[in-house]
Amino acid sequence: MTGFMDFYTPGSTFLHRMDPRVKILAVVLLSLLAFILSQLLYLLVLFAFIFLLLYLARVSFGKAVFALKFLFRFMALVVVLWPLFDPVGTPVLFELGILKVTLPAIERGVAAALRIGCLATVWYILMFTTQQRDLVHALVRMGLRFDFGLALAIALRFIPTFSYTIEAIKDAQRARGMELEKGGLLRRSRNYVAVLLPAIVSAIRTADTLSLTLQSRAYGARRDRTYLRELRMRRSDFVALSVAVALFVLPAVAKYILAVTI
Amino acid sequence: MKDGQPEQRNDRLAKPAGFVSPKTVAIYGVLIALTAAVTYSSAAPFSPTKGYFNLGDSMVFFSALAFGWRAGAICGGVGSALADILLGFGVFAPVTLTAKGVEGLVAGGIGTRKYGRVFPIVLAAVAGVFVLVVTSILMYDSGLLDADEPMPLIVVLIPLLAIIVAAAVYLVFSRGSERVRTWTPIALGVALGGTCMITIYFLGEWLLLDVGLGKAILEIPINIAQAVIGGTIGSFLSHRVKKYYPSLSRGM
Repeated sequence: MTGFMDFYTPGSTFLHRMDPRVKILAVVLLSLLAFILSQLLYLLVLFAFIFLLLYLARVSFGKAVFALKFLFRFMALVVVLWPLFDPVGTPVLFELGILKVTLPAIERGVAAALRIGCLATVWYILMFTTQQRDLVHALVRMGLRFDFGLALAIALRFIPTFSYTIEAIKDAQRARGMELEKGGLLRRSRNYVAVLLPAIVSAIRTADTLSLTLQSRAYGARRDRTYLRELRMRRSDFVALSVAVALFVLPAVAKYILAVTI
Repeated sequence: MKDGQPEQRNDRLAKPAGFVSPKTVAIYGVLIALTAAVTYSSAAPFSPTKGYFNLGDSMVFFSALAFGWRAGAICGGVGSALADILLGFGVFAPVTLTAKGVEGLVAGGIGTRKYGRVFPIVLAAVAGVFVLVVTSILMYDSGLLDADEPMPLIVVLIPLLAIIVAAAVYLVFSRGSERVRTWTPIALGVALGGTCMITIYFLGEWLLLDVGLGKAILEIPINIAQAVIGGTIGSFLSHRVKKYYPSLSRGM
């Protein structure tokens, strides 16, 4: 299975330049909005809006296709499976034995699929337009403990390294005659232990070196640590923040206070 | 905690002010990365549900059993969620974070504790009550037992069976060999952790992601396979690594 280690696509669109904290907040608000909306039409509008953002982010086509390929298949599956297991309401479109497909069920399936689509896409936009270190930095600035932020940053840095290590160990074991692609699930899993054990030992050695490195660079010597790159909110960031808040608050007020069906 | 206490500065593994020790940060970071990398490179697509089978659970259980519940929860949860995102299954990431996090937490919490004399008693009691409840339900269901007029034989038989099972469990785990006593908590932790993971995935996919009941049910067998295989490999790995790297989990 192939994928990308980092979804970030370099660019200079307004989404790239936005403060990562604002981006995270906006993404959270848009995700909550997807849960508030229940009418098909409004979900469709939100979906279109999010895809407009994706277009404006000027993401590399390959990465976008890879990230969303599974999503579309998943959405299709939800649309197909939903009516089969939730035959509610009328009118009944057709009946086949115990299978009963109704119009409301199809509508609900499409709505559920759209909601999932909104949720996933909006988070991938964040990942496409923000560098991983900026994401971690923003999370630390938003209240994540610095040491856990550091652990997360280390993890993101080492995922590609360990993937290559595992591939190298696999090749080494294949050279010794181990067949990793042969046999059933059980046998393959058992053979995989011969890959996992060296990988763990190698990872733990890395951790030892890392902890020495952290100490030699005076990790945690002072609580009031400073940062090389400071995050600063600009005027455009405040505009973006207010737009995102308005996008969430207005429908929420309409639904929960004015009791409008949306 | 106050800044810069001299006796802490001199100790190489001392906790710096307010933060966890550098060793913990390094180990957590590396374990998160390793969990994600193992999930990533062992992922095999599973076409019926458009999900994927992977050996990431073995790393979740390894983290939990070798480094305790906190490492299991954080490294298992975050690492698996990151792998989901990188593989293009970002929709599942929040559910994965909770499911694998709880799996690591439960497995580590139960599997790594040192149990004294009370443990076999608790285990025996749990087994007894389990037998009592299950057999009663089965009896009522099959119509052997009537709620209005309980048959004396069965009323005596069920508690007797429960007591025998409880006594057997107690004897096996209090008089059992060293191997039985080491592996029972681990097996229990893995089983309960796996059950939590499967339940959370099912509920999360059904209720939170709204994928429909059908797909959520289809996912259960693949999750069971993952938990069983991952649990076996993970507990084996943690046993081996702890044996040859005894200094590993110290100074965290």
